[in-house]
Amino acid sequence: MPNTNSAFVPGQPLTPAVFHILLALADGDKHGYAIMKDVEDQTAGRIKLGPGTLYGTIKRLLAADLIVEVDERPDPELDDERRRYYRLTAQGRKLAVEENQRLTQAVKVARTKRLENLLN
Amino acid sequence: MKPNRSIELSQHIYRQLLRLYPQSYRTTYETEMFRVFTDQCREAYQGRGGLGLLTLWLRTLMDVGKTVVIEHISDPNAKVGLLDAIPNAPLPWKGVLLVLIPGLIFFVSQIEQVTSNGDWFFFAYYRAAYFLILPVLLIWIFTRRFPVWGLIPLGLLYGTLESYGPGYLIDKLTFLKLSDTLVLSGITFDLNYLMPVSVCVVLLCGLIWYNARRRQISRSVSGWLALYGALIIFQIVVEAQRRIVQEVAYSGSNWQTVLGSADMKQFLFQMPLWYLYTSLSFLLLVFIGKIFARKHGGLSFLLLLGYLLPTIVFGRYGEWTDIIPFYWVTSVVLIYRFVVALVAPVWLVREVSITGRQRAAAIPVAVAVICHVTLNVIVNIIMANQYAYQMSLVDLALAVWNQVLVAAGLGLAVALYLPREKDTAVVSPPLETVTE
Repeated sequence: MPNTNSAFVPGQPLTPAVFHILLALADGDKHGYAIMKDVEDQTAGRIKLGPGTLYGTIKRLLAADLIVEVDERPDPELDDERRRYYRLTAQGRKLAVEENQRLTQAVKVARTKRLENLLN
Repeated sequence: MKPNRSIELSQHIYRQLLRLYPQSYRTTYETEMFRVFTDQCREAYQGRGGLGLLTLWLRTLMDVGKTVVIEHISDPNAKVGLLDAIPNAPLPWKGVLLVLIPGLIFFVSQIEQVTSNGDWFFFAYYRAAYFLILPVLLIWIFTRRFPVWGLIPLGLLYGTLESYGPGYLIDKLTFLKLSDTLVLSGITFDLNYLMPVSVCVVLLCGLIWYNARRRQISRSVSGWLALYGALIIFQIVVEAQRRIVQEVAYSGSNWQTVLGSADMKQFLFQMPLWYLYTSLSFLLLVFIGKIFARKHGGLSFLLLLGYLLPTIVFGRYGEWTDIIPFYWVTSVVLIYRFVVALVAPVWLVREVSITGRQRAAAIPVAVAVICHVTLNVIVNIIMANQYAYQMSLVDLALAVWNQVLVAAGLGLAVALYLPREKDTAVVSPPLETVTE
């Protein structure tokens, strides 16, 4: 059942921080620092989340049931049991896919208008 | 990895910065955020040394600045500190800070008044009330609840508007502008005073009747009310008597002739309105505070503290500044305002028992009244000596009468907002009324 108190409205664009955190969790459970590093890699260093933005966003994603905190550890060798790990929920995955479709559509439109040529 | 002093210092500073976040947020995320920041520090230092740390700090400060505000606004507990104070609970610092803002503005403006000949004190003095009420109104509109810290700016606005005088206010309300005067039986009344006094009387009668019906007028409330009324009557009678004696002495006529003159009749009908305007408007504020006391209890006293706040005893611009040492007088005023405006609200919020709150309300008020009365008496005595005028006890009493009236009004407020346990047993409404 959708969370009625959610700050994320289906169909509305997500903020870059939210979208990239969802993307970071798309390939497995991660702790906060790993999410932060993943976002940095995804965006080639253009988005560097601070701890405040990272955990503020995580707090809202948890409240909206888009991610959950998990006790299992993805790799016991690398595990730091003091850290908290987060996992994407089905609802979170669906929202990430919808955002991806929205962005793909926007890029498609931009290509048909040959936006890149406007700079030449 | 061996400990690095720069990283340790960064960790220490960041741990202090984390204290800026709301308590509930810190409980859940403080450890994690600290760990992530430590990892960032190590990585930055390994990569680019001190410069890397500096760059990280620039990003972190912006991150903290932005997210602290967001978390405070979105924290459900934030409203507790902004709207209500809860005895026994930790001090609602956000609310208290907002309560203190008007006080701080006045202190700064007072210090400016002492230390320079600049005029911006007056700008702060008269404009602050208008601006400080805006956040209160916004909170009231959006949350549909009047925040407890809004009582001081509300009292401040009331006091400032009252100090302008009714003529100024009526001039602003053009639709009320019918005529300046009203002639009844040959006596000309100043409508600028008659109208507000009439409005005060009607509103006061309504509020007293309403509280009496709810059995909120205890014996001590009736006692203070009677004292307040007696003080007003005494003030008017003594002023009338003084004027008659002066006229008799000046004209050489007997008192019957003086009383029969048109000028004296005019004075005797008009003068009470001047005194009633100030005394009844303060009494009305005391009863308005009772409306808030249903929700905020003794903290309604903040409304009256806001009213007291802009009271100027005297300053650089008074004619007596050449006569008495200006700096020590201002110091006394600043200390008393510090007690009334800054200490009293915090003290009231902290006290749990009714007796404790009564004490927290009464002591700052006593300090305020003693300071006002003492300073007024000193000024009057010094000025009388300056002009070789023999002051009578009546002269001295009238000089401090407004402060005595304020003291009686504040006593009434304590009885009205903070009924004693034995009064509570008498005045408590039936259970059905409480729970409705």
